[in-house]
Amino acid sequence: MRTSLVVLALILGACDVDKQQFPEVDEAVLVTEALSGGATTFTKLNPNVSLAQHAYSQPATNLGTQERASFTLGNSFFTSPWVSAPSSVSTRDGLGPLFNAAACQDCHIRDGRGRPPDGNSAISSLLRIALDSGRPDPVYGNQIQDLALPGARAEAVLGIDWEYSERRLAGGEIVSLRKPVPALTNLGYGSLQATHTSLRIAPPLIGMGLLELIDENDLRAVADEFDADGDSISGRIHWLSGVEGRQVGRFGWKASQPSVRQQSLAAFANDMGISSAHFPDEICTPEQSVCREFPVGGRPELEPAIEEAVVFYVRHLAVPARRAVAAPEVVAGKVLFFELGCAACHRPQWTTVTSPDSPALSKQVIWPYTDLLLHDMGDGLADGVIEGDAAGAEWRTPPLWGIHLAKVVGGQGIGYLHDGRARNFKEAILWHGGEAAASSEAFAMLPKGQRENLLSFLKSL
Amino acid sequence: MLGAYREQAYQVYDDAYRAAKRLYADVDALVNNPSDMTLLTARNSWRAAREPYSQSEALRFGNWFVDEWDAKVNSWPIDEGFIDYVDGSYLASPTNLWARTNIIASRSMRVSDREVPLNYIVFKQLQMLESVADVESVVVTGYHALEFMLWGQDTHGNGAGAGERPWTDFSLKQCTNGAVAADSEMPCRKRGEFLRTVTILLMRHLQEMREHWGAGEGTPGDRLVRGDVNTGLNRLLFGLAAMSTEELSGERMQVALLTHAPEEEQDCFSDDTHNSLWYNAKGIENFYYARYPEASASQGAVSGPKPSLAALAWRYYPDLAARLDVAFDRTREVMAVIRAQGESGEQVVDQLIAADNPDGNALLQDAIDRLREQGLLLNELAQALGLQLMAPAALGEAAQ
Repeated sequence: MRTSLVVLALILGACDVDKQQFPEVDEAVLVTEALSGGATTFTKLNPNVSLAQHAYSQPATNLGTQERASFTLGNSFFTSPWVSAPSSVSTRDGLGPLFNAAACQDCHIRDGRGRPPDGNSAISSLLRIALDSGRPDPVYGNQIQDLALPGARAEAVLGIDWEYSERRLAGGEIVSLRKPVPALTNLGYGSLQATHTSLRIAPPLIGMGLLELIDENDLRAVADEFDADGDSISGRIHWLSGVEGRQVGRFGWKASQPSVRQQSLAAFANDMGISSAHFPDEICTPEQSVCREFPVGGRPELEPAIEEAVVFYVRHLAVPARRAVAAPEVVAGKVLFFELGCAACHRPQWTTVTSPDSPALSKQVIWPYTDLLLHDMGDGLADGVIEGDAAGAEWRTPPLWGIHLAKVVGGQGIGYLHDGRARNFKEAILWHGGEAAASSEAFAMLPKGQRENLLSFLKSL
Repeated sequence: MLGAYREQAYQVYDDAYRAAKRLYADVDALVNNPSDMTLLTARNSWRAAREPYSQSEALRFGNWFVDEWDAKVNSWPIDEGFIDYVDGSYLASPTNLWARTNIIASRSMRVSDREVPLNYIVFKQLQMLESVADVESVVVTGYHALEFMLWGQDTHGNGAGAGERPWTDFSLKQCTNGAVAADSEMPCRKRGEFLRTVTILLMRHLQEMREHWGAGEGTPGDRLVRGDVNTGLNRLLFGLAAMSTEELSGERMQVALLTHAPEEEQDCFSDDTHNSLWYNAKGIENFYYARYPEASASQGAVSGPKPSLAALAWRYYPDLAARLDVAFDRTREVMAVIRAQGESGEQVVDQLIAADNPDGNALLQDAIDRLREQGLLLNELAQALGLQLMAPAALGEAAQ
């Protein structure tokens, strides 16, 4: 079929460059690798990139007619704004009284990542706060809600100052780096006792259901908490204890949530002030009477049918296919990705287990480039916030799949890393410290041409 | 069969274009000579313009370039406070910073540290406004922006009654903003400019889409006909199934029923949703049977038996074809009830979806179930034909 040939050409990229200086490639293998989400992969990328801004919002390609209808329903509740209670829109009321956003897509812009505050709006990022012990602030809780319903006081206005520094790479290239310094003004409920603040952007949601189905045993097998293999990389599972016993943390910047459902419901509760069966209470602390003063939108506010629809939707957001996997600079960059040790944490390939609830996501060979493990990323990235078992310098390896479309989907204002500080892949790599310091340093020491190859590889993912 | 599909698509957009042209004439008459009568005529003309367009929507999901284009003409829901005055019952997204801009009343607006004058409503500005806001619910073009301008906000919630914009909202002599007199003639003048500009823009878009299906070589319609037959068949079937199960029964009916929200009703200002649902369903049916008897305005209306999916099904899978016939009949029956109740004023869609209307809810649910059944049978037909019903490829199919 003509269209599949075109797909293939797009995925493989132009190949008429002299291949001699580059490694040999097996194109059949590359086609498999290009399907980042296996059979669920969204492969119909618009060749006009500016029109591909909905590339993160597609249903898993292998969903059936009926399942696509469920996805569409979930999409509607993901995109429509919630409103205050009581309202004629009873299914969608219950927002706030304190909140960060009124709709999931306010933060997850077109299902992609959020932006750091830009002076006009802080809508798609939030400020996590904690005491030294990791416990929440007694008044403000563990997150600043910077919006409130009319008649309620927002917790604060969130602003950002940027602290700039420079890094010199081999060959003399100077890279300017920036780090956000959060500034809270107009505190609505007295002084802040929290000693640590951490800006967090909303992460992209593609492939969440697939990550949920990576076998726990496979994750255990690659975890190396005490660095027994001596490679200085000591990833560990973030074990969570809950009513359902010990669970693997998979989602969130510090892997603090075990499942798509719990992650989504936590976001409903903390970011939008919407209670659910799992989080039945409003988010106010006992010090904040504001939640008791406003009517609730039902108990719980998130009705079970809507919860199911949204969870189904998030689980089945497809990962877009890679681009230009056979382009010589991409293939060369891939070799570097392994040689520099990036792949030790950004682990390329997994196979999902069978889930009776999600046949479309079962037994898929996927290429997320993550190990879902916690790693010490050094002082530069540390936010000092202890979350469960995760320390202030520990972060979960974020997946890299679909990242070539990050700016097409979210606009030029988006950033990489947990707080969006990195404006491009190069800056993101240079911020890697701790367990990744050696890899990051090795990148900085590469000749410029080779650095470009590595970046080309990332731009193909 | 693909050729017949292309011809029918051309016909539908041709009708939609002609209907939009008539709407322009009536809008123009309203602006030149505002009165109860000219306002009523313009509203009826808008309703008539929706008929062919609503039928064309069966083409959206099988044709990537149609779906991409559709946002220019049919975006909803709208945060209408961006455009004009609204009352206390207005529910905009709390995070839409632009939700109460009111470009009709404002002489300028602040866009990234720059004051942009808004003394006149002109083409370039409307397009700039949507892209600057970058909020999906900021919509100033297409059918629903016009609908809001002709009817105004529907303040009746789930009760009887649509928007009640008075004709004096367009009068330069006794200009009003709804129930109150305006300070100057400016808002009324700008409403007229808005109606004219947005209608012309709509005509241009429809003309553009009509040409995509026209006789020329290299158009998307031409590529469909000349392309791989299985790909084409897949696109036809996928489009009709997706319109049945995802868009019409899902996004437009199930969501409205689940939320009981009048804002989720597609034609919420005019309360004309019963007609758009009817013509949406009719469009699916017409493309399945390759018939388009409503071609009233255009010459050479499609007539007589054409190669169709229905004929194909009857030839190779008569059992399935019979079940599909029954499914389409059943859908039509219940949609006819919904439409008749809306037309007679017995109950319109925002009343059907009200939480305290179990009978209305059941009627809508029945229609949803029948549309789903019909979509699943279309899926079965695709499988019988050895097709994996898949969303159409964007590649090589995108219009320019």
